[in-house]
Amino acid sequence: MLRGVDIGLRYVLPFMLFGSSLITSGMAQRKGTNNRTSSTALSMKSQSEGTISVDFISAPDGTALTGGASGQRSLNLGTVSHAAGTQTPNVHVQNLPGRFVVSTRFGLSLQNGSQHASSATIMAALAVPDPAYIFRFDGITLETVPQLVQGKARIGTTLMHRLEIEVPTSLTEKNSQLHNAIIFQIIPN
Amino acid sequence: MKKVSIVTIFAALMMISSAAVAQTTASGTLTVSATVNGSIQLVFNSDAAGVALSSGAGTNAATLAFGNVSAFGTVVAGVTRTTAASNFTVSSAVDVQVSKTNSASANYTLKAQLGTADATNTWSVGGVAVTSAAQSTLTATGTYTANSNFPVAITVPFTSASGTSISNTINYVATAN
Repeated sequence: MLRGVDIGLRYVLPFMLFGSSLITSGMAQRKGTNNRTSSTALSMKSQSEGTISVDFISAPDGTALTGGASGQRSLNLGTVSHAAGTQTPNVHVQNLPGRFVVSTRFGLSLQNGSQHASSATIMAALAVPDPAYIFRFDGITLETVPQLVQGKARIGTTLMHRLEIEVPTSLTEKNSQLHNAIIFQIIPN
Repeated sequence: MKKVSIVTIFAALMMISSAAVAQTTASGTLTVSATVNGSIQLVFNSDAAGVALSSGAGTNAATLAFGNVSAFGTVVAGVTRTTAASNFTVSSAVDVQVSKTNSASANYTLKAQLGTADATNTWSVGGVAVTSAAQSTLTATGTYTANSNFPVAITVPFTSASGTSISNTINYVATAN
């Protein structure tokens, strides 16, 4: 026999407000928020204080990354062509029937202040759709939907990765400018 | 008492939920740029009707060897000979293939020029006289990807001594139109 339970709003409301502040704090991932919260809430905030970060590193055998903060760098592959290849150091051009592949290497360095996780999942996605070119990260084709590119990347180390861009020879001067961005998302395991 | 228990469970669930949401993530953006240049490529191929290229078939640096030639004796297979009053001409079909990539160019212009002057013999490619003085236009509307036959011909005067070696280089230049 089920019996109804009468929960008074005066009991529930304070807990709902408390839970809500925790969610907001976690989602915002802000350090040092000065919210008036209970000690439990501060404990939750400390979990988000140990923020994980990702830095892009120029690879010794890759083209030099330029500009921006460490988590927002640029990779200019220069001028590439099927017949002439490239003049950009550490950029490689491989000719294939009907297409050529431009490739280089760069590093991803994962750091985690909290030391709570030893590995992380790396997701990657193209910023904008580009049907003219095929982007591959370590052999995985990138799309605008985030793709799992590494399931257990060690935190605290720099791992080198390979970026390949496949250029169809049928593209003409109209599509000669390649410009896109790869958005990486790092999720601690 | 029962009310307090339910409220406690509810609050615990809320905390667990918020703990899950509080998982930190990081993101980074790598901007990638490049400029793709259009290009064309020229290669020489052996023509079935001519002398097989002795080296470099399928590349842009090939060698065509006519072997021993004479006005009246036998010539090797693939060599065509015509004899006139004071000279004879040996000719062989040679295929030139120009391919384009990343270009909207409709066709190409092909020019040729002798590497060094030849005061004795006369050279022609595709029926067009070729000298070292200037480039000669073989075609202004070449078709991409097709094996186009541009026969290489040498006219040798009867006055050339027997055993005379003939050697030269023909430089081809294809330009996208």
